[in-house]
Amino acid sequence: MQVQFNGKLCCLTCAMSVADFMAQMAIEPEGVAIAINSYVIAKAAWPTTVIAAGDQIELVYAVHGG
Amino acid sequence: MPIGEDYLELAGQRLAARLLLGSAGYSDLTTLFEAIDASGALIVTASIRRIALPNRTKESLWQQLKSKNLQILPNTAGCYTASEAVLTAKLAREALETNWIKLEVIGEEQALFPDVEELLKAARQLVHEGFVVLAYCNDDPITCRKLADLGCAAVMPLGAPIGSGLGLLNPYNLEFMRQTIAIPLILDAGIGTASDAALAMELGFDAVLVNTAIAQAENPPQMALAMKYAVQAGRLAYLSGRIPKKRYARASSPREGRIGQNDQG
Repeated sequence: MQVQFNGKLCCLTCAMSVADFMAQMAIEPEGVAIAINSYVIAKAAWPTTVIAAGDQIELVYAVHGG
Repeated sequence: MPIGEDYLELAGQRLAARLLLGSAGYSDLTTLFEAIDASGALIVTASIRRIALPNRTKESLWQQLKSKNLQILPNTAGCYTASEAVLTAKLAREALETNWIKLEVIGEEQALFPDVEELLKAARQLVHEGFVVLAYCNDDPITCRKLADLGCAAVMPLGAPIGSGLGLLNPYNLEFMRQTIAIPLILDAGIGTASDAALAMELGFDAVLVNTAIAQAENPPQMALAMKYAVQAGRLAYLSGRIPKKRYARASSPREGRIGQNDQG
């Protein structure tokens, strides 16, 4: 199924939880945040929030800035 | 008050340093952290950006700042609408476990002046949602007062466009702000060298945020030290009460007893 991930079209094999998505991407939770369709998903909700087809996902972290 | 007891009171925190640092534009991490050490800054800003996969292996900036007991202040740099800024702030809160946000909502790309309407809208929403908002703004005293009235923890007017090094282009407005706004004022953007930072403090500002002037100086850690001294000197001068400016000279040496002065006739 297709989703938008950080502005790019991305194919996932199936619907999956945010926690599974992060594990698949090998992303550690510390220092990162994720929003789906402009809603920030709290880390506690990662295991129970499911990514669906067409979702727009923003995965961010802190970088150098002024 | 002795200078050693002169703390910056910001959102309920007492901070010994009135110099905040931005973390962008340094040649490498070692130079960044040498500059932070030299500056004595306790708060360092960072931006929120999409993770570039697969490069996530190094210790993150946040972890490195945390390991040195520095407070990270995320910004909403690059946001052009209130909704973008609010989402970025919420992402920052979740990622970095802080409800402090340096709010920036930009109106155009050349001078990076803020979009005042969207800035006020974003500030209102973020304050309502419990954020500690430090709002980057232009040097308009009315907009800054509105941000203060909305409940921002600090207002951060620019001295000149971000990264320009032009200094304080409108000291009259900045001084006027100090007379009319009670919450902390932090001069942010446009500082080029230490005397600019000192001037901001002499005008009564509570703190200064410096990024490019240090990061891209020929010797960043040395410039960071200069900025530290400049902020302290400017603050001490402000607290000491300067003399008023006069149009003409007023001799400082006594007139009486000068040689060559004889009675006439």
